Parts: sequence; structure tokens; C-alpha cells
Amino acid sequence: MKFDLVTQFLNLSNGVKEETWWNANWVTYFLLHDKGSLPQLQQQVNDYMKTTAVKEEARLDGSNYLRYNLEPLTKVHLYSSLAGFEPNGSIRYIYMFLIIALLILVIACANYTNLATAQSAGRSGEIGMRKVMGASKRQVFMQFIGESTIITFIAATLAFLLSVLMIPYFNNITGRQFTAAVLMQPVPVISLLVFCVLVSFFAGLYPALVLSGTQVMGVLKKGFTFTGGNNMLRKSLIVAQFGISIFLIIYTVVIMQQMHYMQTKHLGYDKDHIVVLPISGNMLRDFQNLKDAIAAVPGVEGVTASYETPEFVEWGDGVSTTDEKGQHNVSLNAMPVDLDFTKTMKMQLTAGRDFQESDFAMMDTSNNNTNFHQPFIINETLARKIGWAPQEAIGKTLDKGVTGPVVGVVKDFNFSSLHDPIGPLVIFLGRDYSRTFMVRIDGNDMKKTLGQLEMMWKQRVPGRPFSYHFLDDDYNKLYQAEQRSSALFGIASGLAIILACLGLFGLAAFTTVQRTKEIGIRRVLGASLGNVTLLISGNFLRLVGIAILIAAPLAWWAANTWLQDFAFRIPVQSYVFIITALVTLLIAFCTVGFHSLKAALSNPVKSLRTE
Amino acid sequence: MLELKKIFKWVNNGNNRVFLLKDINLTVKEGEFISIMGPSGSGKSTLLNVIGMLDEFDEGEYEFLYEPVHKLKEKQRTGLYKRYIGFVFQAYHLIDELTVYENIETPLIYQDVKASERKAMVADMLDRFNIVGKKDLFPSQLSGGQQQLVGIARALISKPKLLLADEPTGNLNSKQGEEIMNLFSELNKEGVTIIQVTHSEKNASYGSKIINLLDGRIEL
Repeated sequence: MKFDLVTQFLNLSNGVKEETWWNANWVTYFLLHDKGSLPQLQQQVNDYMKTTAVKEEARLDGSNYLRYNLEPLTKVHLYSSLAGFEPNGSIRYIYMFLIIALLILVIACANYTNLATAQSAGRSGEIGMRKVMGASKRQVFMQFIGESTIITFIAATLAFLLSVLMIPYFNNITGRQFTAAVLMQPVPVISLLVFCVLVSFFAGLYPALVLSGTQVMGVLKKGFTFTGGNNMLRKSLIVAQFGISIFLIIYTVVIMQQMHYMQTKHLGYDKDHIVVLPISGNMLRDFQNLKDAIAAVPGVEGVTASYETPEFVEWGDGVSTTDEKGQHNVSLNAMPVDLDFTKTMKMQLTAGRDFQESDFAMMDTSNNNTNFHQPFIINETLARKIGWAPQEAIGKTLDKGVTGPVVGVVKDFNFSSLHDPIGPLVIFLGRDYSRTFMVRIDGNDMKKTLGQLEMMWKQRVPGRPFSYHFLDDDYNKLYQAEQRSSALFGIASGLAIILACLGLFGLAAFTTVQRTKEIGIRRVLGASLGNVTLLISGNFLRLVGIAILIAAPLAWWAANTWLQDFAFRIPVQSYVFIITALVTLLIAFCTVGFHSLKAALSNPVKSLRTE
Repeated sequence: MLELKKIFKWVNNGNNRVFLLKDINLTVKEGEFISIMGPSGSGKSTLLNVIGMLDEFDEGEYEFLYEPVHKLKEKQRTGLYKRYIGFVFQAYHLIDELTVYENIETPLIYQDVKASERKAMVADMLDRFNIVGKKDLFPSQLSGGQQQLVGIARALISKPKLLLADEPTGNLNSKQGEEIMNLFSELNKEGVTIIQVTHSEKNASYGSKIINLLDGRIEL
């Protein structure tokens, strides 16, 4: 838990401790005697909330009731939709990366199986001789399993060293501070060992079985040849490899597109060139002068202030209003702001006006607040929720603890994460709540403008350092987790396609050697270079084609599922699939084409020589 | 039909130049049936490959149907032999993965013959060689003699003017060999020019002319 200061709840001012049902501002923690009593407690809370007394207090009719949801603290970080002490992670991403790691491992294993089996053609003589010398089937089998074990363990050692070396880069992408010690703990080490054993067994199993089972005389006489079933396995492995790669590529592209969309989406306000400056309590006394001074700095286009910046509003609140259709209670978010808020943020008003100087007169604090009226601007969603057309809303009275007229309706803007739809929001004039200045600068010479702002700041606010940040940076921080995931996805899918191509490269080399004679015959019969290249590549490309057909719908489904998490999302574009398919085919063609061309170019006389 | 003038072919082995063909002068007229004989390594197959344009030569001139082969580009040469030359090999060199029918059809595919025409031509050829019943079999399901028959059918499918045969009976027993040789003389009578490489005096006697090779030279 990171904090600057801890204080008791009781030390807060009385206003915030007011006991009402709708203002969901605080998270409450319980310590239970017995872990198992959680469901029971939840039931009791629900039952209590359903009692008439509570419902009356909360001004609820019929079967509606408020829910207070309990979550175990240990699950908040990875599973909850609400933030805990620190920004939440998501268990889904952890599972996703685990699956990706496994998929890449599968590709690598498929490569080993494929190439080991293919290469075994060249080793048939050796196996034949071993068998002639009296090696049993078991001994040959163990020899090949042994080989795959040695290779796997060497690879694991290299991988381990590489992981240690790569930690700084990994930290760079993920924004964590891992050290090598993380890898040295028993769980990673033991799981690595277990994986090594599994991988060496499964990757080595097939070649070992095939080779140990070969007939001695057949091998010594004719050399090793593949049977149909064997081809089937090899083909399925290629399809699997490329299926995985294509899946990952499409998925990554969709994620990156969504990232791009989120960064460039028009939020309903202009987040660029907004400098955010903190306001401390004692600055409020001199607020108007300070605001004027900021506005007077050359390059500044507008100044406003608010409690929270608009990219992520957390203030929870409740309003009620009564019209001809009855009473409406809405639980919503609220934003206290200063004058010029919608103007400075370049928000659009669909009806009414922004707050103005004269509105302060409404907020009459004399006479113990008896004549206090709070002016409101509401967003379109709130108007819709209550059942008002924007124009109708103007002049209506809202009750948010204090009552006041609606003076404006603002066009919906994203004031929360793009994961969530835009909810109802009430903006109220509340200069005294201000915690941040938001200064729109023209951006022509940002350095100069910031320099002058700093000079002004140092004169006026000697006690506080000039620490500013930009609103668009704050916004981007909201999606840091997704940004990091998408970077990792990019790396993973790149790795997958490289591995798959390496395997294809090796296999193509092998296949062309095996088909040298056939290629020679075809050349003699008049096949052109193109014919032969197409013949060899065609077989592989067909497999890649099948992989595309299998992977594309899966990727479509997975990408859509991921996108469901965002209320604001891009559609999955079909051109992503088409381009991915074409690029993959092209890469595969280049990989295989090299060997095909080589085979086609070789002199057929040589491959057909019999004596 | 074709004329070789002062053909030389060699390989460089360190500082030594080993001649595979030395000063070959040969004229073949249309309708001839020529047998090339000679001991192993005398250059018989090399000469046949040069005539078939499968192999290049280092010096000399080669004219095939009035085309100067030595001046042609790879593509033109391929076009020329695709149209006019058929090959028969000692080891048959059928494609194992294809059926008899498909094997015979292959050269036509590479000559861009239309599918319907191909069908008719292959059917004719199967008919002529009495192997209609075997058209769906794979080479490994045939005897050597039958495989060679398919090999010859494949060589003849594109109606070549010249048939080149490299020890066509080398892998066959004497009865099968005799059948193949009878087929060759029949084809020759129909007007196909044939050049064969052979070890056997008896097979050579089917031809109209014998050329003896020794160490890459024609012995007169």
C-alpha cells in the first residue's frame, strides 16, 4: 500500500460524513471472524437493504433496492471491476499470457518433431547399423528421447540465462521492477524443470517411435521413406503452427487498433494542450486573481478549475428531481467546476449555457443557506435518464442535497474509462472544491508558454513548486495496462511467426531434397521454373491456407470477446484478416520459395543420373 | 534433322581439364534410328543429354531443325525440346505419387494443352499401348516392363519428332527388352527419329546406324 498520509475517517469534515444511502463515495472494509461467513453476510446485507425502513430512507419504491456488494480483499486486485488500493490488474491478461507462452512452446515443439522426423531420413543408415549390431527397439527409442532431452535442457539453460539478461527490457515494457531473484524461487525453477521433461518427451516421442520401429533391411536397402500417415502428422503440425501464428497476429492487430482508437477517439472535449496545475487550499483565497494572472500569460487560451480532471471522474453522487411523471432518483458521478469549464475544455452544449459570474449570486450563503441555490449543468445521458429532452431540462430543479436549476445540457463526453459506457453526470458550480487548474495553451511555443507560466507561478505562489502535467498524458495513463499488453502481444506474435517460418524453412529444405528426382523428371518433361516452384510451394501454401481458414474465425471470436470489455470499441475489420492472410502467405512463400527455386534451378541431369 | 559440329565438353579438375566430349561431329537425318555404343564412361549419356538439350556443352555448334541451339536462350531451348523431343530412361523415372494416367498426362500440362484435348490424347495413348486397364495404378504396382511402357507412352504423348532413349532396356529382362525394342522399330517405321544408348549389340542391331564412343570421341 502506498500512501502519503493516513488519517482517521473521523478527522474529515462533517459534510462528508453525512449518512445518506446514495452517495457511494467510500469503500468499506470488514474483518470477518470466519472467512466462510462471507456469503451469509452478503445475504444479510441484502435483506437489510430490502427492509421498508431503508427503502423509505433511500426514497425507493416497489421492488427496487440498493445493493452493497462484498468482495474478498485478496480478489480485488485481479478480479474486481472496482479499484483497490492500487490500480487493478486483470486475471484475464495473466491467463492470456500463459496461453500465449504455451502456444509458442507448441510451435517450437512442432518444429522439433517435424525436423527430427525429417532429418531422420538421413540417419536411417545409422539406425539400421545399430539394429544390425543388436540394439533393441527400446535402446533406439531411448537414444532418441535422450537426444531430445539433452537439446531441451540446453535450450532451457539458455532460455533461463536469456530471461535473466532480458529482465531490464521486460521491466521496461511492463513497468514493473522484477529482479533475477524472482526467477530463482522454487516455483519457477521447478516448473521449468517439469516443462523440460514434458517437452523433451512429447517433442521426441514421435521421431523416436518412428525410428525405433523401422525395419532394418528396408532401411538399409532403400533408405528411409515416409508413409502416408507420417505426412498427415507433419501436415497437421504445420497447420497448427501457422494457425497459432495467424491467430496471434490478427488478435494483436485488433488490440493495437483498439489502442490507437482509444488514443485518437474524440472524447467530447479536446484533451490536447491542456496543462494541469495543482491547487492547494490556501490558494483558494486568492483564486480570482491567480486565475486572471494565468489567463494573462501569453499563449494561454483559457483557464478553468475543477475538483477532478475530466478524463476520469470518480466523485460519486446522487440527485433527485420531481416532475409530472413523478420522482426520479439517479445515482451518478458529479463534478464541481469553476467558470469557463465547458468553454476551456471545448465541450459542446446541446442546450442552455455555461456557468456565468452572476450564478455565484444564486449561491447565497447568508441566513444559514436558506436561500442557497446550486446551478447545474447535466449531461445528455442524465437528461435522457430522467426523461427530459435537452431543451426541456433547462430551468428544471435538481436536488443534490442542495437544490438548484439546470442551466445547461452538455453533449456527452467520456469522463470515465472507455471500458464503460457514458453514465449520467452532473456538473455543478463549485469553485471552492477546486483542486486543479486546467489551462489551455495554444501550443505554438509550448516551452515559452510554460516558462512564462512558471515565472508567474513563482511570483504568485511562492510556497508551491510549479509541477505541471498534461491532460492527454493523464488520459493515456488510464490505458497503460492495455498498452503494455499490446506491446507484449506484438512481441509474442512476432516470435510465433518467426518460429513457424523457421520450421517451414527446414521442412521445405528437406522436402525438396526428397523430391529432387521428381523435380528432375518434371524439368525434363518441360516444367518451367515457375511450374516447379509452384509445385513445391503449393503444397505448403495449401497448408498455410487451411491454417488461415481455421485460425481466422477463432481470432475473430477471441478479438470480439476482448473488445466486449470496452463500451467504446472498434468493429473487427475484415481487411485485417485479408491482409494478415496475404502477408502470412507471402512470408511462407518466400520461406519455401527459396528452396523450391534452388531445386528447380539445379541441373536435372544430375538428379536423374542412375549409374 | 540435327547437326553437331566440333562439340567439346569438359570439366576442370584442379589444373587438369577432363574431356567428356571431344570434337563430336554428327549429323542425324529425319527417320534414322541410331544406336550409341561404348564402354562405361565413354560419354554416351552425356552426348545424349547434349542432344536432348538437358546438358550444355563448352564449345562447338549444334543445330536442331535449323535452329542454332548454342545461341538460344534457356527459355527458347526448353520450348524447343518440349515440342520435339521425348525422353526414355533406363530407370523409367516415372513420378511415384502420380497414377499411370497422370504420368502420361504431365508433359501435356507443361505444354499448356487444354484439359479436354489432354484427355483424348492420353486415352489414345493408353489404347495404343494396351494399358487402359492400368491407368489408375501407381508405378510401384507395375512390373518393370510395364513401367517402361508407360515411360515410352509419356515420351510419345506430345508427338515428338525425336525420341532419345538412355539404355531403355537396361533394367528389364530379355523378353521385356525385346518387346520394347520391337516397339521402337515400329515407331521408327512410323517416322519417329530415334537415338538410343545401349550396351547390347543385339539391341543396337535394331537401329539403322551405330556410333561407337570411346573417351568422349567418336570411333570411326
